[in-house]
Amino acid sequence: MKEMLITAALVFMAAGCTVGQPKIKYGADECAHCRMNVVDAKFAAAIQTTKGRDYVFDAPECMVPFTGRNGHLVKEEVAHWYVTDFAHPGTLIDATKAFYLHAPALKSPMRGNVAAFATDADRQAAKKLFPGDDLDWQGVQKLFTDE
Amino acid sequence: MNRLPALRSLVAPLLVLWATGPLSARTWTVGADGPSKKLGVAIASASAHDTIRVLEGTYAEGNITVDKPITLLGIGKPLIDGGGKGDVLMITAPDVTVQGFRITGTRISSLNDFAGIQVVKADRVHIADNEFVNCFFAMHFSECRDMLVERNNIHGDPTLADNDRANGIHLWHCTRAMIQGNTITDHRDGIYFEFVTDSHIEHNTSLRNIRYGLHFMFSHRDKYTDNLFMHNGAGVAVMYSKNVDMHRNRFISNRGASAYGLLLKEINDVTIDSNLFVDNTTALLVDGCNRMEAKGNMFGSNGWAIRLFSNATACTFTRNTFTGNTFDLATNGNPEYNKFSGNYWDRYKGYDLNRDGTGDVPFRPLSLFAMVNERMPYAVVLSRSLLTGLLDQAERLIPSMTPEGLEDDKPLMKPPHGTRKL
Repeated sequence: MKEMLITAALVFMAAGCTVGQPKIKYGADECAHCRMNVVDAKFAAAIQTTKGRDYVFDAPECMVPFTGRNGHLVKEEVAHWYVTDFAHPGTLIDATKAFYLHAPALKSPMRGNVAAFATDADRQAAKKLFPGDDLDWQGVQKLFTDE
Repeated sequence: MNRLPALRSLVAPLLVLWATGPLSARTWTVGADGPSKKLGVAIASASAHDTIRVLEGTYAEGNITVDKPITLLGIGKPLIDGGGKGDVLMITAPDVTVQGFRITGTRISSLNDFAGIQVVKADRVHIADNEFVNCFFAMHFSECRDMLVERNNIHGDPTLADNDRANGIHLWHCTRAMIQGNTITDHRDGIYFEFVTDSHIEHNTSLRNIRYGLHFMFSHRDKYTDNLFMHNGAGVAVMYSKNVDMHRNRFISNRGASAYGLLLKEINDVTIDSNLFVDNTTALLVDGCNRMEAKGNMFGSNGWAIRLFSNATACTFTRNTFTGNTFDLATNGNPEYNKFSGNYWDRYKGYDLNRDGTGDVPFRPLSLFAMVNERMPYAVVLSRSLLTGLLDQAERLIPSMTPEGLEDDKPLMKPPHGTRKL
């Protein structure tokens, strides 16, 4: 009985330690890079570090320069990169596997004008409204890295 | 006398113009009892420079497009209801005036910027004395010049979710705008300037907006004076801009972990003169600014009066008054080449033996506890405790931890003349 209780307690403690997806409080969280309040649920992005700390951004154009040469973190410290699925505002997806669209008409918060999608089909559908170029994660990183 | 013929040849065509111009413009009346009942029909039949008087009543005609330079004059505040179909009024022609209406019924969209009045590539548009009720964007201007937006009352719907509300007055790629005497409440940003140059914002009131009362991005050579910003979610933000003048504004009660009376981010060459900062979590945050001049401002009863980041250079603070702030100054490092001189600090305990009005010993506005707190934000629970009092007292007697450069060499003994009273 005692062992069971201890085991149960341990399980609960371990469960408490797991780090889930970052939660963005729209309207209250501040972008870690540009300090703007995050309100647009179509473009928000987030980083989770290897230590489990979350950084929230208002858009990919703020997330990418946050790491790298003049940034706050180095890329090795990042465990997960998240972007918002433009087709489903408020849903974070894995940034490294997302499909990106770069279109001026998107008007993202810092005017990087890149939207992310979970599927290529969603991207192609959005492209009809917002004509632009397809990008992958490498392309997005290149686009927003300060030289 | 020999100049007269030349003059006459000039005057004659002018006379003709004067006689024909105004006379050729007609005035139309739209109203329930009038000959014309539909606003859209009247606009279609009007010619350039005509005036359409719109009598009291409700005009629910979906989207209405104004594609010629005409004046729409509301008599008795007629209501134009877009019925949630998109924009309510779309203006695509220059020299359009819209005055005296109530406007409602924009469509809420996460993809399109629908507005009560949408102005696209039209110069010299004049929007005055209207009331915008529960619009998504109230006014949205893109690629316009020389517009005048005055005395409008703009009220968003406070019951809607944050994402279903957009900005009150939104300008994108505009120049020489004048925004004056408007009141904006419960929108996302009250006024948003994006790529807007050579413009003025005066005597506006911006309250209870979700994000910023006023928001500048990439907007240069602008001036905002005599505005009131109160109870906005995050205060006022001026970002990535240069040559912005801010005079005699009031930044009041902008409270929250990421709320600022005034947030300056990547700003060059600005003047902040005679403003009032009261009851804000952080009154003024300076992050990445060069050549900022803050003078004659009043900082009263704020959590932090000034948070000066170490990436700020050549910022000067003179003749400001600091009273009743929890922290007068905080910094995350050692900002260099900034100057504090001739400010009034209520914490100053010095003396003035030669009676020249300035203290004989310098004042260090950065308390040791403020430095500790910047490293360990949770240390704030010790605020106003005996321990922090002792820390600050020790540092005051034998300064050793606080950066040397951050001192006021001539602290004033009395609040400077000309500073606003609370």
